[in-house]
Amino acid sequence: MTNEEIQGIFFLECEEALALAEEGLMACQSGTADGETVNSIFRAVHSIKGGAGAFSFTLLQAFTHKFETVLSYVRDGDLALGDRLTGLMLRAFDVLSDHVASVRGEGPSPDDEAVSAELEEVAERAAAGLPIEEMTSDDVGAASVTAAADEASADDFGLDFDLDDLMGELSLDAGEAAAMEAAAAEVERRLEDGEAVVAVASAPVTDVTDMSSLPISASLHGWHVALSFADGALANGNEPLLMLRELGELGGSCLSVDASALPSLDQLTVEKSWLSWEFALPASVTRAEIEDVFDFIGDDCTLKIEEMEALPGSGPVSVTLPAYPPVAAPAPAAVMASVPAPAPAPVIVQPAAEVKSAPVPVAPLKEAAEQIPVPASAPPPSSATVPATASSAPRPVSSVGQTVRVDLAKLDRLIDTVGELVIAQAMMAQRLGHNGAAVTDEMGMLDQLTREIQESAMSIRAQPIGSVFSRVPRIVRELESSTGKKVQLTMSGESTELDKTVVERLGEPLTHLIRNAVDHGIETPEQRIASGKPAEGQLHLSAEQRGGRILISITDDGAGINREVVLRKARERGLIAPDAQLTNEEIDNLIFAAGFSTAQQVSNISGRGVGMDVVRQNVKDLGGRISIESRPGEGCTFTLALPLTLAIADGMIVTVGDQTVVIPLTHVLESLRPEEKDIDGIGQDLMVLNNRGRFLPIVPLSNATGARGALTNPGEGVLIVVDTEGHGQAVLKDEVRSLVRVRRLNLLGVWPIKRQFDVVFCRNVMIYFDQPTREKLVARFADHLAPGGHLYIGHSERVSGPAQQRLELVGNTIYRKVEA
Amino acid sequence: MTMITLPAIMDRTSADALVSHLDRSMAPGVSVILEGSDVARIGLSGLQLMLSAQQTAQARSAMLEVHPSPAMISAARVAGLAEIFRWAQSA
Amino acid sequence: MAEELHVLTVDDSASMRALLRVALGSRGYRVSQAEDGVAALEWLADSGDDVDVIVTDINMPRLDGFGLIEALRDQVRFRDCPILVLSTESSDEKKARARSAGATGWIVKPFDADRLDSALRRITH
Repeated sequence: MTNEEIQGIFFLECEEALALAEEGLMACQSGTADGETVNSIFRAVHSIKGGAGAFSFTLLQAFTHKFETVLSYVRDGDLALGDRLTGLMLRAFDVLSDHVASVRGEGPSPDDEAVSAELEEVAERAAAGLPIEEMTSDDVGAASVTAAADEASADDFGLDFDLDDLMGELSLDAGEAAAMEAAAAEVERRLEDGEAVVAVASAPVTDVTDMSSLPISASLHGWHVALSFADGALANGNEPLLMLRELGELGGSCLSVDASALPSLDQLTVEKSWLSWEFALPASVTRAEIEDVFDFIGDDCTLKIEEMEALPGSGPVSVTLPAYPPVAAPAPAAVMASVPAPAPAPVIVQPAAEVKSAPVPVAPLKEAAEQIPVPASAPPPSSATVPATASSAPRPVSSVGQTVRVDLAKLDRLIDTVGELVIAQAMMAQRLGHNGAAVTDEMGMLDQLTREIQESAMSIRAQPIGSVFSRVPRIVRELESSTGKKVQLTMSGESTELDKTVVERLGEPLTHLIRNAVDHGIETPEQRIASGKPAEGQLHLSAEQRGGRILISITDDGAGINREVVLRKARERGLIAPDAQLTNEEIDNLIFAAGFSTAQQVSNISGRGVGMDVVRQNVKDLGGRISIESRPGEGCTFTLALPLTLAIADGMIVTVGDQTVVIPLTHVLESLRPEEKDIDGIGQDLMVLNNRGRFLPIVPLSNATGARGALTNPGEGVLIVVDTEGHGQAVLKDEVRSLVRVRRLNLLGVWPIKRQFDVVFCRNVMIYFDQPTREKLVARFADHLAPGGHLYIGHSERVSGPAQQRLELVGNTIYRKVEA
Repeated sequence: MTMITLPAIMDRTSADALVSHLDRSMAPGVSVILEGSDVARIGLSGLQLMLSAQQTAQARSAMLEVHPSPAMISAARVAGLAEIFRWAQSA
Repeated sequence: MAEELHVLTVDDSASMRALLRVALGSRGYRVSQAEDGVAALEWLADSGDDVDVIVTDINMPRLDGFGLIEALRDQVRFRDCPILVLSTESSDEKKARARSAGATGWIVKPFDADRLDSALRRITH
C-alpha cells in the first residue's frame, strides 16, 4: 500500500469524523447533547489530529490540537456548554473543515488565527478554573495578542525538527557547545527511543539549554546506580532483565546483587522482584540516558544515581545470597498444609464477547450497572473486565426499553442458522409435495412460524436508516456552496429500520443521488425565478417500509429530465438505434445506461467518474431496484426499492437433468417457453434466441453443471433470460420449479454447510482479498465441491495456491474439481 | 531421582506453575535434575526461581543439577548472577 | 533476533492501521489489527493466536486503551504480554493511568517507524 493510498484512507476518515463532529455539534446547539455527544466530537477531532500528525499536515495538526484541548475540558466537565462555547465550537468546526479541504488540495489554507486565539484563550481560562461565558470582547482581544506571542511555540507543536539546524543557529562558545551537544545527544536519544517527540520538540529553545545543565564535571569518572523494583513492576509486562541488559549496553557493569530477601521455594512468590542491584556506568553516558532506561516503569523502580569518583576495577560481582536454615524436608502432610498447590484460578476469565453478552441477566440492567463497578472487598475474578466493557458501552441511540448487548458474530450465526431453517423447511415442503402428501395445516403452520422466526431474527440486526440520512444535510450544504444553488432539505422516515448490512452499503448510492439531484435536477436561483418557482429548491428524502421492501425516495422540484437532450446523447453515443422509438419512461431510464452523462461540462460534484449506471449497479448488488419518475419542469423522483436484508434473497429453483439449481431472482429478466421460430442456430454448437429482436446466446445449463440427462433441444425446455453485466443471456432449463430463497454466506466466517456443492459461483469476490485469503478460500471451495463439481470465478481472478492441484481449468474462468 | 524439563518460556506464568512442583521434589537425598535446554526465554521470575531452588536444595540437602540453555546463561549474566549459579557446563 | 514477532495493533483510525501495517510489516513483523478494544479482545479470544506484543491507541470507541489493557491483564494469557501505548496524548496523568492499568510503555504519535521498531524490540526479547 502506498503512502498516497493510506492518505486516501485518512481523507475518508476525516470526512467521517467531520460528519460525526457536526452531528454532535448540532446536538449541542439544540441542547440535546450529553456526555457521550461531547466525547464523540472529541474523538472525531482527536482522530483527525492523529492522522494529521502522521502525514505531517502541521497546520491541521496544530489547529486540531487547540480544538481538542477545549473539547477535553468540556468533556471532563471543566467547561460548561453554553451559547458562546457552542458558537465557538461551531466556528472551529468550520475552520477545521476548511483545513481538511486544504490538505486534500481542495482549497486554500484557511485563516484560523482568530478562532485559534479564542480556543487558546478558552483553554487557558478553563485551566485556570475561570468561566468563559462572561468573557468580554476585551478578553478576546487580549487572547489574540497572547496567541501571537505564543505563536512560535504553538506552531512548533508536534513537529519534528532538525537538531543540527537548531544547533547551527545558535552561536555558542566551546563550553556551551559541549553542553549543548550533551543535550542534543539526550534529545536524540529520546527521539530514538520513540520518547515524547512532541514534548521535546515543543520545548522552547531555552529549555533545551536547561537540559544541558547536566552534571558533567571534570572529576566525574562514572555513575553508581542502585536499583530495585517494586512489587507491581513485573505485573505490567515489564521485564527488569531487559532494563538491566540496556544498562549493560550503555557500558554498565554489575557491581553487586542483593538476593538476601529471596525466599525459599516453599515461600516463594514469583510475582515479586526480590533482588536489588548496584551497577557502575561510565561517565560517557548522561544521567538522563540512565534515567531513560527506566522512564516508563517510573515509580515501580527505585533508582538512585550517584556520581562516582573512580570506576571500580572489573572484579567479580558480589552477590549476597539468602541463607536458609538447613531443614529436613517436611513430611508430605506438612507440605500439603504449608504449601497449598496453586489453586486453579477460581473463575476462568471469560472472553470479552461472553462477558459483554451476559450482563447479569436477572437483575434489571440499571441496577446491574450500579452494582458491577463496585467490586466487593475481595475482588471477584474478572470484575475488572465487566465494568470496563459495561461502562464504555455506547448507549443505545433511541430505545427507551431494556436492551441487551449481543455480540454481532452471535447474531450473524443466529441469522445464518435461521436461513438454514428456512431452506430446510422449504425443501421438506417440496419433498412432501413430490411424494404426493397433501399440504396439511401443520405444514402451513410450520411455514408461517418459520417466516416469523426469520423476520424476528432479521429485525434484531436492523438499524434505523437515520444513520445514513444524517450525512445528507452536510452533503447538501456543501453542494449549495459549490453550485451556488439554494436547497431546502426535508427528510422523513429516518427511523425506518433495515438490515445493518444494507444500511452500511447504502451511503454511496444515496450520496450520489443527492449530488445528482442538486447538480442536475435543481436549477440555479435565477433560472428558478425565471420559471416562476421560489429561488430555493426543495429536496425531500424519505424512507418507508412497504411489504418486504424498503422504499427510499429522493424527490426534487427541479427541471426534471430533459428528454430531448437525453435522447440526442443516447443516439450520439450509439446507446440506441438512430430510429428507435422510445417511451418517455424508456428515455428517462437511459440515464442509467453505462457511459451516459448529459452534463454539458463535467462538474466536480456528480462527475467524479461515477455515473448513474454505477448507482444502479450498487442498488442491484443490494438486491434492490431503482426507478425514476420525471415530471418535466416540475421535478424528479428517484425511488430505491431495497430488500430488508441481504441475508435472504429470492431465487428461482430449476431442474437440470438430475440436478437442481438456484438462480437469484435479481438476475432473472424473464423465463419463457420458446417457440421453434424464435430459435436459430449459429455455427455448429451455438444457438440463439430471438428475444424481441435481440439475439441472445442460449447456454444449456447442463454444460456448466455437468448434469446428466438434461434436455438439449431448447424447444422442449424453458429458457430463462438472465442479466449478466448488461448482456442478456438465455439459459436453457428443463423445468422451472418453484421460487426458493438463497442465503448469504460470510466467506471468511464459519460455513454452516454440511453437504457438498456441484457448482460454486464466486465471481469477483476474491479480488477484495489478499493472496493468502484467496488461496484459503479456493481451498475451501475445493473442499466443498463434489468430485466433478464446478467453480466459476471472475475474469480477473484465478485459482492459486495448493488447491490448484484439485481444480482443473475447463473453460475461461471455469474450473472442475478433479475426481478423487 | 526427579527430572523436570523446563518450558521454553520461563516467565511469571510458567515459573508460578513450577514453584510448588519443585518445592515438593526437594527432599533430603533426592536428586533433582532440571533440564533447561529448551529454555529460549527467561525473565527475572524464572531466574529468581532457579536461585531459590538452588538455595532451597542446599538447605534441604537435596541434590540439584541444572542443565542450562544459552538463553539462561545469558540472562544470568545480565542479572549479575552468572558466577552464583552452580550450573552444569552447557553441552 | 530473526524470529518473526507477531504484533496486534489496536487503533480506530483506518489510516493509522494502514500506516502501522506497512511500517511494521516491512520490518518483518506479523501484523494483526483490531479497530477498538472490544474488537481486540474478541479477536484474541476467537483466534486463539498468540501475540508477542500489543500496540494500542488510547482514544477509541466502545472500549478505550485503558480498559483494553486492564481487561488483558485480567487474563492469565496476557499477564506477561508487553503492551505499548501509541497515542497522541503525552500527559503524565494519562501515562500514569496507563501504567496502573498495566501498560508496558508509551510512545507518542506521530510515530517514527524505526523508533517504534526499536521500542518493540526493546520490550520483547
